[in-house]
Amino acid sequence: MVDTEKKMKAAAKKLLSEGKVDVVVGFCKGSRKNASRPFFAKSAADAELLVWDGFCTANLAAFLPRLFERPARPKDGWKPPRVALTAKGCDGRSIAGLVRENQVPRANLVIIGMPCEGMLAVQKSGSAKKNETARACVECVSPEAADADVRIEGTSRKPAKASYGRVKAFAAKSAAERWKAFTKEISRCIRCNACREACPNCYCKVCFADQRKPSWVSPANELSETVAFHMGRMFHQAGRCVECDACVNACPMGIDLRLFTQKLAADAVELFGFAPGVSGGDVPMLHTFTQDDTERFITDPEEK
Amino acid sequence: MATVALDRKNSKKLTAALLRLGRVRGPVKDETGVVLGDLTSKSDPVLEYQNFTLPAKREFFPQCEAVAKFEGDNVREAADGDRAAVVFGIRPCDALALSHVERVFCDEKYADPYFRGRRDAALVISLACDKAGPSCFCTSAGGGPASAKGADILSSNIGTALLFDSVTAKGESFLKKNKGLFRKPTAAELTKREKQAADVSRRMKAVDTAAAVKSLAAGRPAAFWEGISETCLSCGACTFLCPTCHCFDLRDDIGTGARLRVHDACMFATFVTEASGHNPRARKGERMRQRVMHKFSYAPENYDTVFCVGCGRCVEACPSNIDIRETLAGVTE
Repeated sequence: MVDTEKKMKAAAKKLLSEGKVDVVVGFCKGSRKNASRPFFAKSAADAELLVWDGFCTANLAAFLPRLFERPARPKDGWKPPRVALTAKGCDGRSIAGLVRENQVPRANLVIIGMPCEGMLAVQKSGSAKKNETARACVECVSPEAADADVRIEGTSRKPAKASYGRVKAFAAKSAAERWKAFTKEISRCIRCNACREACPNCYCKVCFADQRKPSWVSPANELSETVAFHMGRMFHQAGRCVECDACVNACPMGIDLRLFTQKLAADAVELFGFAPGVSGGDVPMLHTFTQDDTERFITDPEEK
Repeated sequence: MATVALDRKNSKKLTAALLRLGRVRGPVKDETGVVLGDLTSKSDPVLEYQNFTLPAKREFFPQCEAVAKFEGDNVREAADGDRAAVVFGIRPCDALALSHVERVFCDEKYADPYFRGRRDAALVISLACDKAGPSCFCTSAGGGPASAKGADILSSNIGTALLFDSVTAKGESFLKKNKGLFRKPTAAELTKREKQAADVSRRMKAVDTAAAVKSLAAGRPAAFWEGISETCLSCGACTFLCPTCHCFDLRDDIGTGARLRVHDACMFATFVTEASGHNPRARKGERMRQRVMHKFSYAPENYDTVFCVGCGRCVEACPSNIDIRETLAGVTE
């Protein structure tokens, strides 16, 4: 990894000093134990601060819609920035989705493809579970970003085969049991929106949960409202979730959202042959329609 | 009143005495760890934990509460919610934060009836810290591992026994009424408590809060705020977990006919968005400035204390690891 880090720094430095990009989105050393944190390098000197280690967990693609957003009052001659991003496989899958959904001008983005051995699982307390690979990485089907403009050589994890064992075991339970498990997990939510903000797919200018006229979700501390928020957010992830666990890692309450978003991913793969950034082509899944698309999940949700 | 002691093996007797006062909130174990929950006569309070993920302010200023009910033209005040008679086991940082929030909600002229009612109903027994968390810095934020401020009684766990000191008249009255439970502490026990607090204090890295307050009063350029908020995601993890953040929004829930007071967060893009759609703090740098200035400049100006107690929750929870300790060091650079 030391060698990988050196090569990455050199590549970032080259891009910045040659004026090819304005900013390199990467990681620097964090202030917490066992943490690296998102970092925007804007000069060759900044590039020296970039790190690549087992704690580069965040999905950096979440910053792209923000960086490319046209300001409310743009200065004369405003142009979108030129951005480079050190991409793991998950960041790469998200980038593919954002490009497909016209949120990222591909010509302004330099993807620095990183070799990814998987990030380490770190608990909120910063302790324990050392040297254990994060769940999202163990289940990662494409540890290297596709479509990289600059490729940093190194060893990556072997891609996992999507099995969705946990989802299937969960789906085999009765609707009542599933509801109980779902609401129990969700009941800890404090509606801080960390899951939403950490998610590269949640780039809506105004989230449905923030709308007031009409108000889709009441701020009342009631389970039904919290469920409405999460269901709304999750359904917007159908065929879009790249299973990176950014939402899970961001949640201060340790809510395991993966089981639920992964169900959507599993359905996208199994019913529509669509894994965002991996398979299914360049058109967003929900923008396509074929006559043999299944609709049984609506009419017969209990059917196996 | 002098310090009194209770042997750990008798802690259930203490729970029973507390339960005689009414609903008791205290440290209980669930599948996520130790949380502030309802203690029952069967539960022996857990005393080994760093801190609760959620701040104790929520016991007195809940995330959502109805302040009025309405049906057609008929508007009435909402009934008082569930009040706790005892809040036990909160850490000294949360107790100190409670005293800060109390000053916002209640002064000589005005008292928020909801906060006042809950605070007056509760006997707050804090529990001194026996270890320091990795992001703790209370000793640099007006508190300490055995700081008593904000609590009615300060308790300390020294292993085989719990020691209690009354802080307020309410606390003293409880200890006196239940004096049969307690014994005199030994000199060794008192020394152990001193040593424990000193050890915890030593483990914390110092932050020069005073210098930061001075520097912030002069203001910092926009570029500074843009810089420190660059990787901010505009979520509310820091504010919702903060024991002193007290901003709220009033929202009408038409469905149930309730005017709700709900926690709000200055880091949300919607925080001060006006009905016209105009947002006076459209940039996250401006929102970050608000959060830091509120705690470390406006609060010292208005209340003569920083509105940060050094609990470290925001440091631990931030998905981008934006660290308030580094921000404070940065303002003096």
